[in-house]
Amino acid sequence: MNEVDYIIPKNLEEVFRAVEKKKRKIKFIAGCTNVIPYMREEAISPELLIDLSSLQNLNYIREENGIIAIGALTTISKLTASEIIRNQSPILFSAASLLGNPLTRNRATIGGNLADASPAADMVPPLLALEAFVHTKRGEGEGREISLDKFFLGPNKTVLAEDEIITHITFSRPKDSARGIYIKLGLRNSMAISVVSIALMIEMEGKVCQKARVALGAVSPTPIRVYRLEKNLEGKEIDQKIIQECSVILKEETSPISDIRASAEYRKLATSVLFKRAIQGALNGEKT
Amino acid sequence: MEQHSAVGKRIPQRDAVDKVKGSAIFTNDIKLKGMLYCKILRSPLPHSRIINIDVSKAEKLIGVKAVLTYKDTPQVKFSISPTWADKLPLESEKARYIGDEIAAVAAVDEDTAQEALDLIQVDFEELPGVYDPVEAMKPGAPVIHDSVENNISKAIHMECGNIEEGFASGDLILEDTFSTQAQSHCSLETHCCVAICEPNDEIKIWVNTQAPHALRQKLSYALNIDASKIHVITPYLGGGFGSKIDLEPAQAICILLSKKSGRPVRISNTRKDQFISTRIRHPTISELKFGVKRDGTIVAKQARVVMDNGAYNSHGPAVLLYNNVMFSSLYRVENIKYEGYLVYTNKNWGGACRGYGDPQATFAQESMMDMIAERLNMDPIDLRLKNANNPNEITANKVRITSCGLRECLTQAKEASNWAEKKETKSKYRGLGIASMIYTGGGSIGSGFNYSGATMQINADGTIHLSVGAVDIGQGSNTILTQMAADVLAVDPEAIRLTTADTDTTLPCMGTFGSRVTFCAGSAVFQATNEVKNMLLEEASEILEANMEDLEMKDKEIFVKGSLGVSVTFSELASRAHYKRKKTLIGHGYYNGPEVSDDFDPTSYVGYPSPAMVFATHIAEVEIDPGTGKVDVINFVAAHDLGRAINPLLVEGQIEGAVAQGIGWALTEDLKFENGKIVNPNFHDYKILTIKDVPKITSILVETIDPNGPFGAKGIGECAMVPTAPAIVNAIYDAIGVRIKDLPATPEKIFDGLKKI
Ligand SMILES: Cc1cc2nc3c(=O)[nH]c(=O)nc-3n(C[C@H](O)[C@H](O)[C@H](O)COP(=O)(O)OP(=O)(O)OC[C@H]3O[C@@H](n4cnc5c(N)ncnc54)[C@H](O)[C@@H]3O)c2cc1C
Repeated sequence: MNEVDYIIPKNLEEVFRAVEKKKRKIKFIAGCTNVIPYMREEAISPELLIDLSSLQNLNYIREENGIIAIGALTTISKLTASEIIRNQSPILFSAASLLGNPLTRNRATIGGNLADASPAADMVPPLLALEAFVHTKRGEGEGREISLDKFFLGPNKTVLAEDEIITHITFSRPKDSARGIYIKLGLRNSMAISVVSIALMIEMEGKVCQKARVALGAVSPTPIRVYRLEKNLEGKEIDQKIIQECSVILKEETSPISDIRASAEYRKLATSVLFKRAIQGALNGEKT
Repeated sequence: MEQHSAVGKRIPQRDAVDKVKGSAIFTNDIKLKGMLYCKILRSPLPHSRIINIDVSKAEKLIGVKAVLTYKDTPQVKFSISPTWADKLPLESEKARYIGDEIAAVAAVDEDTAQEALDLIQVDFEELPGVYDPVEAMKPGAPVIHDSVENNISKAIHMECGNIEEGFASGDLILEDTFSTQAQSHCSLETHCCVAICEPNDEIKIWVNTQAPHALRQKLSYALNIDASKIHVITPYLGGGFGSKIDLEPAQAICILLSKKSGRPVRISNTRKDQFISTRIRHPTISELKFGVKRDGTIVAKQARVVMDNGAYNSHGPAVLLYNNVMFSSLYRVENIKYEGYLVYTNKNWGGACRGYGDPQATFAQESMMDMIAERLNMDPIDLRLKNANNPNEITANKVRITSCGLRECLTQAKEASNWAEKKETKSKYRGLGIASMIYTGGGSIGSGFNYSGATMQINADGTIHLSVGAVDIGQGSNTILTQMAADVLAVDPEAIRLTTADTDTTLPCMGTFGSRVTFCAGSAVFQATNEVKNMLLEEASEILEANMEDLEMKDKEIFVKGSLGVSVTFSELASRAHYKRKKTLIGHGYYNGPEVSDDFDPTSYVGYPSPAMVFATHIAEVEIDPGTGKVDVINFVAAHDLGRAINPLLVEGQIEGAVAQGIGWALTEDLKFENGKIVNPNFHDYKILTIKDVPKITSILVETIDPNGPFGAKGIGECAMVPTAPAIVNAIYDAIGVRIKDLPATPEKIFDGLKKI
């Protein structure tokens, strides 16, 4: 590892002052569970690390007026211990419980998971299905509010500027009638990066699906919403024929790669298996 | 039944508290004043000629104290034995795999050493590489070692009985091919050593080796230094699984760097170094042919094995030999043919790895046994019982079996797994699979020696001190060796002081491998302690005026049986011996067996002189997710004939750990190569099991009380992972009818298999 400077600002003003002053390759860090491994592998070589972990006012989970807000510095462990998350967004809760292992969850933050922009990031599909917004700040100016489905550009690439930080994430509290499922397929039961993951939310009125949100991880350069599939579910009674059509759509809408964990073909086939399980589970009234 | 005061007791490891608290000192904890840090420049190419190495820039970097190339070494090739020598500590002419040692730096810290490596200029001429052992054997393949034809480092041809007649007498012939992948040992503590070369040229090296005494010999050979100048010390050691038996190039490099710089030098592998530069389990391709009668009798069996050696020999030749011996001696088969080839490729080199060639043989053979059982419509356990080895038999390939509990393993595992009932009521995606194995349970004298020494002394103050060359690598030999000694002297094991694994203060021991320490070092301890016991009894019989047979020991005192109050303490006896009679109380124990009989013919590969053989049966229960092909191992039964469990708690620890490693090899562990380069050198992508993946494991200890083992004990360490993978693969077949012949059994392979049905 090359030499690197490190600062730990106490508040946002200090963060941006540090960013302004130094004309060097900067990197924000939170839990460091991505950054340190990358640095060891020399995949990145920043010159200045700006540690955000003292920004305790970005570490919270709140619910106000039907909006759930999560500070960027909130750890995954904290999500798994939150009543709000457990009760109001069980898919996010179950994705959080499946991330890494307890040690990792204690350090890893939700902001870091989004900003790292791994195609397999576990927090992303549920947040996509929840139609979350990413709130950012950069220097003195007003912050941005970015719809999560517009946030990712490619593997490890987002719309964030180098000196722009995520402050928090928001989404509307799902309706009480909403059902959601998160399924993660990994190669072992803990400490496994997803081979495929799926988050699905549906709202039913009687037998008819009013609203559907389906998001996938690890089958495209970024986690994706599958809009065509959602349209194919909405306003319809979901039967085997629809589910079958959806499988075809999934094959067309995903573009997985072959890598060390699985082949592209396996990913495609497993995606449709997971989708069938998710939709069946949701129809049967399961909530996670 | 005999009464035992310490043997057979479930005693936690002596050092468990120190290790849990973090106060135990491992090699990686050792820091000396003025110590330098070493980093090694490794070949980035799989196969190349080294044209020139320019270290001038690196030498000038501030903080660099010494730079080493082959020119600074005696250039003596080494291996497990001089016969197989093919590796230099730093290569001079060629680099044969990605990771080969080219140069090394000692600097004031690791970062500086690393920086210096980047300043070393090496001109390579790239040569074509070969990565597949079958390709490497073909004429015209790139030549990896100049004098080795077709890259075949060793070939074994073994035949006993009459293979053609054997096959002709069978009702059914089955043939198939099975292959296995590379596995990394993944011990918790990475390889590390700290060497210091004193001004008088005496060398001291702290090193996490499984064989300190053998290492001294190998260092002496490779560095051309008188062995009497070398002192090897092994502190607490965090796991080996075979990866730490060899001389590591880094150990020789550290010593030479210390010599050159005049300062202590340390090298400690990162986890990545560990993956890319230490030994691996040899991948194999095994073509089997079996002939059976309708009643299940195996009349002939044949194997043709190609073993991927990687770039250098290490233990390869002996691993191939074990592959032959274990394949050939499991089950009573008269007609056997084995043909094996150890083939160089431009990849990381194989070495000793828990099971030593037996897991590969057993995966193939026990998969085949299941296929035979199905064809004969026979219960797989009945087929194995039909052919099982028996006590006091010599196998067709002349392996002597003394104690043998294979039948007990089969029947007890069957019962514990609820086999009969579960087979009746089988649910759709669940399955049960069985596999058995044979292995050495006390090392072997096949290489010419199998030695372990021990001394036991009782000092004038009554302190009891056991000293053994054997090293506890985490398996618990320190605990069980003191248990054995304590049992002989009828004292608390805690009362025994223990010195181990130091070439200056302990008698030589060949090392911790081959499941040999309990048997061999245990025999030495037993002998040494009995010798001291006799000395004590002699002294006591004089003082107490009683016959030795009438004396009894307890809590460091000797009594006359039946006469309460007539006694003398160990310290009274010891001080009398030392001060009055001017005599020390030291017992010596030395094991180096068994006697080699005429059966053993190293040139025809018939016979194998091991003091004891061990047996086991594993039964796995799995559930398959048909949608994804994922395997969930839900239950596991492991029955082991280990002679006697000196400490059942530690035995269960060995079995559970080995089964976890075996399931890993069966399902998730796969060191992957692309053009000779390991693409998953980290714990993210090389997947050992986590606690959430390990099923409940039921251990069954079959105590056959071996006639030659100390207290009847035989080894357990290595063998417990041998039958795990075939048990799982057989269970997968039972569950869904997909036969995996190529490990590991990944979800994807199972998924593909399901599509084909
Ligand atoms: C052993 C292990 C297991 C893992 N398992 C999983 C898993 O199962 N699933 C999974 O999804 N991930 C997994 N990860 C990856 C990682 O833990 C997560 O992505 C984690 O959420 C990253 O958070 P962090 O706080 O550690 O980020 P850091 O490593 O500190 O930062 C990651 C990236 O985010 C940026 N960043 C961090 N915070 C902000 C912010 N507030 N604003 C702007 N940019 C920011 C950093 O600059 C950096 O680019 C694993 C990692 C490890 C080491």
